[in-house]
Amino acid sequence: MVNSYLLNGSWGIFVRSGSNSTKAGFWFILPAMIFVLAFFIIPLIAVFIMSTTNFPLLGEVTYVGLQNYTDMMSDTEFHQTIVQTLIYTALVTPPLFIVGLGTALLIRRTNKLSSFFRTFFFMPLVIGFGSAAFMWYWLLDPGTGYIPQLLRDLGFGNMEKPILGYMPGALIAVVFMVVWKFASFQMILLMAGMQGIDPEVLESSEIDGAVKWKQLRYITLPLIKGTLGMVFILSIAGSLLAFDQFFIMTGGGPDGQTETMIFYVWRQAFRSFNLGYAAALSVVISIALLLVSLIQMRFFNEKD
Amino acid sequence: MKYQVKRKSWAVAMVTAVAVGSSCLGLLSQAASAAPVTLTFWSRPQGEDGGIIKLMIDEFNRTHKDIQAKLTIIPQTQFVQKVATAYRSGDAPDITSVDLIYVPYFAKAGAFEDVTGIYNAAKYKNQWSKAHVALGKYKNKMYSLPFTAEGSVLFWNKDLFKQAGLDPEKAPRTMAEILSAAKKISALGGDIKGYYFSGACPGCNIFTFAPYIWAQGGDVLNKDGSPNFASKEATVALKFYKDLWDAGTVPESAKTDNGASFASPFLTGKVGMVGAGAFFIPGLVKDHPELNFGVTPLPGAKVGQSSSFAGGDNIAVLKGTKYPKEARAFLAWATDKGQEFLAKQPVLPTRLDVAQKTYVPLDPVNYKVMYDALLVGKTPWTTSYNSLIQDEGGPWLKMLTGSIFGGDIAASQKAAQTQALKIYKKEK
Repeated sequence: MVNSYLLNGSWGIFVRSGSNSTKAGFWFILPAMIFVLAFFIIPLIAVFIMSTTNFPLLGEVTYVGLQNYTDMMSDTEFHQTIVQTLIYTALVTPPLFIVGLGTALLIRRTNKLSSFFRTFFFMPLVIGFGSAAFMWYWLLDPGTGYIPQLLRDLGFGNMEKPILGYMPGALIAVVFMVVWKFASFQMILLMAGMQGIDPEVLESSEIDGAVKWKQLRYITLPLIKGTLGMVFILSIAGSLLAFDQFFIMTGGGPDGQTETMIFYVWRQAFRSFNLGYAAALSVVISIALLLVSLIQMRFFNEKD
Repeated sequence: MKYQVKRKSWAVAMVTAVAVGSSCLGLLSQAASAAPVTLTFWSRPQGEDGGIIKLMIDEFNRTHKDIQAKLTIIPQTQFVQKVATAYRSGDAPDITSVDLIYVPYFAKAGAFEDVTGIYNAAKYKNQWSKAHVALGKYKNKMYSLPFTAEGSVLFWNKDLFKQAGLDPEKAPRTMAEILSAAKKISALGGDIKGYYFSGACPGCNIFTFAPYIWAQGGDVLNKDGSPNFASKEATVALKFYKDLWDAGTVPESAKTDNGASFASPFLTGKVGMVGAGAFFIPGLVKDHPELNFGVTPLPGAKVGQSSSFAGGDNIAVLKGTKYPKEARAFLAWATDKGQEFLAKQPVLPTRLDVAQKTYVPLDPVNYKVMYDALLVGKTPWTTSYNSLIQDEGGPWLKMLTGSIFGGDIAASQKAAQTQALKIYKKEK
């Protein structure tokens, strides 16, 4: 499915070579190809080469073959971060989608209030991720944070224990922050998908007596399957690459229980200065992500 | 005839042009030789507001015509990576001021010029902080010189001591006395607590916790850099922190503090004691006149035992500099007149004579404690500081959190020692 898309899509220009339009097309995409080559393909090759060396931050680089990859097999700390990342991904993906879809349904029709709510829901997205994580770190501080104070006022005890210092509080707090920050991104994508549906289709279903839930289940969602696929790919890939929120809010704690795969890569690269091993970890994670995305694409295309 | 005249005038013109040209070139080369050499200098922010190093560079530039220094301040968290990658790519600065703890790592990698000559020639050689000299040495050669100093000490709130029925002028002399005082202060109730430390910050704790181990005669790392996390002295110090935590004398927020708060809860006046450094004093005096505080060495288990983490920076010349002569001249100034300038700011200098003569008189009570801390200060020598100590998931922090918050000191020490030994052997 993917290959046929590639051949029939923009890459098809290479199939019909020789014509003037083909040559023109090639020149048009050349800058983009150079960009992709310089900033994606060459660095990827460089990372792979790095992964076959010891590559310290300073000092002599030694070729070690596939040693870094075999070391990974027995690295229990890395295995633990894989499990923790998958748990986080499983926890964050459903609420992100549900909140994104819910808000998209609320504001998809243009009326007096929708502009206000669109801005309202979208606001967290414009805050930088690092800034937002820091903001939540302080909001959750048991001494000065507003959230523990609010919970105290609501009768949830003295809230002396830091939410981020214990499990599952630390993980739930991060999930909550990410949903608050990114649900609006999914909202925008889903809303755009919904606005592409012909209004006549929805009107016909209403005349046929379809209630709102059935309309959503049997008409809206099937018609935005492409968008749904994209939303899930972005959401899952983003969650598997989680770093900033954990680095700032929990520091991987308590006791390493919120350390993600990328956090571990960062530690190897910039704490242990073991860039070769960090590169090998990155290669493996990239391949895993590619596979996950391909499976998802296949799933959504087959459903079509 | 006409032709000959023409040839003659051409020849004259040529000679004149060459003469004018060469004199111009001469002037240009003279001008070039008169232009000052500009040295690039990288530093992390230092001093109370981080900008004191800039004042020192301004002073150097003001007093030197033939050499000028151009300062670049690099954030502390990115410093080692930036200097290392710049060095690797050939864009390193001529001189750098490096966090003392990372000096052995750079020296081992061969990134610094040998400055043993300057060290041996210095008339104040015996006045330098011993910890800074020890860290500057690699295989019996000096690769950096002592530059700025820091020291960890204990701050206590005299008003809270008084309220808790303790003698406000009598500082705790042992870990047991700190624990006892912390309990009495916490008993005042409300949100008043006896002690504070950043429980999720490995760097903060090597600064303020390790001295409790050293004061008893123990060590965190052996002389060869191998880990010594399972010592009896470490057990005693960990039990002391665990007791502080279990007794509820430390705010709960300490558990997740990654250093963002560090000693600042002390500024609220609701914390009885905290470990911090010389950098903390000027801000306390200037911005918190309401706080009645005292400074005392970090103690050990018995009266008379004390220690401190000797922090600060060493200064080094990067290998490959185009101006080795000028860079060495800068180092000579920075370790001589530069020390006087720093001491007046006030930044704790690495020269004991300058500290005694210029720094201590600025605040004879508190700065004298800092001077004493410098005399007994220790810094672990290791080329694997980041993986052994600074790493958030590394053995040092795991040992602390496992012992203090987890409660199992023996198991945490054993696990940390095993992990640290593995790292040490791998990186050796």
